[in-house]
Amino acid sequence: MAKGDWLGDFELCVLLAVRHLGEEAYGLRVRQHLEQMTGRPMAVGAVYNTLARLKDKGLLRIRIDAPRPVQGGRSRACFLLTAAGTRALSFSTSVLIRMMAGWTPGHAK
Amino acid sequence: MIVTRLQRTVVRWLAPRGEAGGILDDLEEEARQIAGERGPRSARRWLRWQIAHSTVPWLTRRYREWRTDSWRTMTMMHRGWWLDSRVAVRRLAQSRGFTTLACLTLAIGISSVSTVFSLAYALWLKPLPYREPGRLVWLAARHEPSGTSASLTVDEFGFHRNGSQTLDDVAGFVYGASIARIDGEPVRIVAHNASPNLFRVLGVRPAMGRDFTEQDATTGTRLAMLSHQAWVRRFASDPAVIGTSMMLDGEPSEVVGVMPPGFTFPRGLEAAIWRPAAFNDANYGDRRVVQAVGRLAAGRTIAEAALEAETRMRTIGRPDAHGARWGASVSAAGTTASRTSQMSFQALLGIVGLFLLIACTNLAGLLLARNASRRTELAICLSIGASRWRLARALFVESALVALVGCLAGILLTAYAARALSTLMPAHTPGLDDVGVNGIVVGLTAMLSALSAVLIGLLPALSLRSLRPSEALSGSRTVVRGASRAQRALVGVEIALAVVLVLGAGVMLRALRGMVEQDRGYEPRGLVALNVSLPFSDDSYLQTATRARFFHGLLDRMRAIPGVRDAGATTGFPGSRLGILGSAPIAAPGGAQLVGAVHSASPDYFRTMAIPIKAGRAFTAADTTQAPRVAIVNELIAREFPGGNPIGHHIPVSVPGDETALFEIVGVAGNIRLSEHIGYRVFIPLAQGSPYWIDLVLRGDESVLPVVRQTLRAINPDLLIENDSSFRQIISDSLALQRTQSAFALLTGGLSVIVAGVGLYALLSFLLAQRRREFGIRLALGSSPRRLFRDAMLSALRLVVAGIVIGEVFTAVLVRALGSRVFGLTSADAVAYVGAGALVLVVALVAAAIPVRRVLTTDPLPALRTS
Repeated sequence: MAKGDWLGDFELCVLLAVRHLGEEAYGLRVRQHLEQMTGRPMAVGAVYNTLARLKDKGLLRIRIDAPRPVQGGRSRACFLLTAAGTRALSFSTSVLIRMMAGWTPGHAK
Repeated sequence: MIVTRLQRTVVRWLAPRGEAGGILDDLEEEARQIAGERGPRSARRWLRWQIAHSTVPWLTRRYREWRTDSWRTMTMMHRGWWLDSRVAVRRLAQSRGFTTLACLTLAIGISSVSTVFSLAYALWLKPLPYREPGRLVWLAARHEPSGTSASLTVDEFGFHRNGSQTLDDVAGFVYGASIARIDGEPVRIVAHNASPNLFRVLGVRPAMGRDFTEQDATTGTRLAMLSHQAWVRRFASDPAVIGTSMMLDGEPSEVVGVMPPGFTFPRGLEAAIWRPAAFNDANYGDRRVVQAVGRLAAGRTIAEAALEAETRMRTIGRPDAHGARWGASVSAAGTTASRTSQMSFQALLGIVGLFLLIACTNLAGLLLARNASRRTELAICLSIGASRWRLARALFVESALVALVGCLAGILLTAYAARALSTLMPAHTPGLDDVGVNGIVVGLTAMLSALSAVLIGLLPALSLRSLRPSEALSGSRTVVRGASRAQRALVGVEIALAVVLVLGAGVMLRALRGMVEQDRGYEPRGLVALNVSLPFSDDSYLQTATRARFFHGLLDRMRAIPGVRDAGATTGFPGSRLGILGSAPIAAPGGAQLVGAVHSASPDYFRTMAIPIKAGRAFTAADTTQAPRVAIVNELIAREFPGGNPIGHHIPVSVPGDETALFEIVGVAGNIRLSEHIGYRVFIPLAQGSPYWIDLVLRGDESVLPVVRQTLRAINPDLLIENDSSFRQIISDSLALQRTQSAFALLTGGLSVIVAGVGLYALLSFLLAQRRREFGIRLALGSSPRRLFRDAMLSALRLVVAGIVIGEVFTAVLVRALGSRVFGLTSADAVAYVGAGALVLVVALVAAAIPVRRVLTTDPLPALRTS
């Protein structure tokens, strides 16, 4: 894996959120999920920029879903992991796991 | 709606393009959720927080995107230029004849300007090699009655040196020459005596050794500072020269330093050796020999320094021995350009500038014609979506390429032309070695080329504005007519400018011939001259009488040489590189105060030169050292006396080395001159004022010079013989500037006629090609070819005559504005105007007749069929 393919920690979080949300990985949901998991407020600008950057890198792709059949329902862009995205994710996480061998993090807020 | 209108606007402004809509929808949806769970206030607060904290990420991303975009645009642009250049190269290569002609015309035009500039730069414009040369000034004395300037006395020099507020320091030097022996041959070395602070005032330090100190002038030991050139030539660049001793005028002098290369002072009479000297009464008395150069104090101007020097001189001003008062004059020393040379340079630049303008006009016309035949192609480009700017750029690249080639060829041409031009100047002109191509000349050439590219490309690019694809594609002729109007105007301008140059060349050549052949007051044909100097070191020539006897004997030996019909001696004939003997302040009974330059002359001098004696008598052998002192004045002085008759009056003559004495005027000689200046001249007999050097003038042709040298060597091998040449050469050297100017005027005048002819030829070829169909129809309808020829020629004639008239009017205006300032321009008369006009007319009509004949003699039927 080349040097440019290293994921930043926020990128890693976003990719994990997308993987976790699966078919529901809309921008809005991703942001909410990140807030829930980290317990910190997340700005749309930061989250959406990262999503766009990951898409430009080819780690994510977009699928435009049909509008929901309710009043004012709109079509949404759903983010999906590409093969490269899955590879990058497993590489980064496996590195993390290897590095953490024998250590259990204490209670973090 | 929870997201306010303002928030929407802000997000639309800040968020990346294309994403704002989605973001706003998401924000709205989530804010609603929050409002439902925690109330609208929380939702609004949440919204505000979101937008505030997204601003920085959004702006960062927008900036990154903008940077990537603009880089991409630039690369595209770059690629566009490259493409245009390749297309232009191919297009130019297709029409080799046109390209060669265009590049050549431009190269000649550009290089003519560069050449003149390189000459002017080397001779006059180059900054002198001193520290802040703009602050250096010459200090001189001004003879109040006549207003003429002269060197300072030692007293005045000391006065200026001490207590001036406007000058930081003042240094002085006295011209001098020493005789050194190099390889057994006596050689005159220019060796000036300088005040020890001279180099500090000029702001130049010796490259080797040490500078003079104030003590050097007073200790009495003989010291010498070498110029770089003298060090290289006389000492073979010996690095151990410092401290060695050299023989000067028979006495040893210690070398204390070597000046850096490139240092020359003063320009025109560079010293090989400088000797420290104390300027005091004991050495120089009250003779006017000190040249003074000062450095302006910070923030002071020349005018302030002049005012101060004048005021201070007035406070000490006492009349000199002849009752005349002396003031002070201060002038810039940091420039070499005299008024005459500056004017010549400007005139030359004007000539070549006009020529470059003609060349550019011609090229613009040619390109315009080329593009006119490409209008269909350009119209197609326009209609399939090329912007006008893009097309203009493509056309412009073409002219830029021509200019680029013209620039390179121009630099090459300049290198050759500058060398050729420098041979027109007298060989001893200071700075002549530096004439050639240097960084500044290359820069100027490049700038001219860029300017030419704009001039050439502007009109064709502008003509695109009127290009209507519909008209051009439907074969309408109106567009062509519009373009041809511009072309006609260009050719008219070319012809007008050509007339100006031809007229200028004509009058300059005539004026030059007039100056060569003018009556100078003597007969320069069959006259040769040379300088002979006695060795200073030889004590046997200490007495004036001994020197006079020696020179008279020498003249007798000269006359005995076969081929020498007559021989005379003087000091300082017109154009001599040796100076005058002294000065004679004359108070004419008529009230006029004037200063005459004093020359000595042998009895046969006037006869040898064929100078008429207008009144009284010439000198005779009876005017010996012991005889009463007599003088001959020239007519210019005689005019100042009542009735034009000065004979019998006594005038004071001061000759360096002798006391001032009264001389009786016994004769009046005709005025003589080299070029325009005559000046007040006083002659005294050689026997009564013999210096160590004379100008020998011999009636005979140049072939006698070797024998003369031989004979002089035989008389005394220590004699210094210099500058032997014919008077024709001396006169020709003195007219170098005018000759250069005339040569340029002639060259550019001739070329401009040819260029204008080519322009007219191209224009008519193009216009007539457009009218082939019309000619075909007229021929078919029974019109005679002769009549068609006349019609076509008449339209050309109208253009040519209009151009000539405009050119002549323009010249008349120029003559009025600059008449007296440009050499020869005042002599522009009716003959010159008519002659120049006729010459241009003939060339233009010949150039026009060729394409007209060609069109009329080809079969019009194919043309009719194709249309």
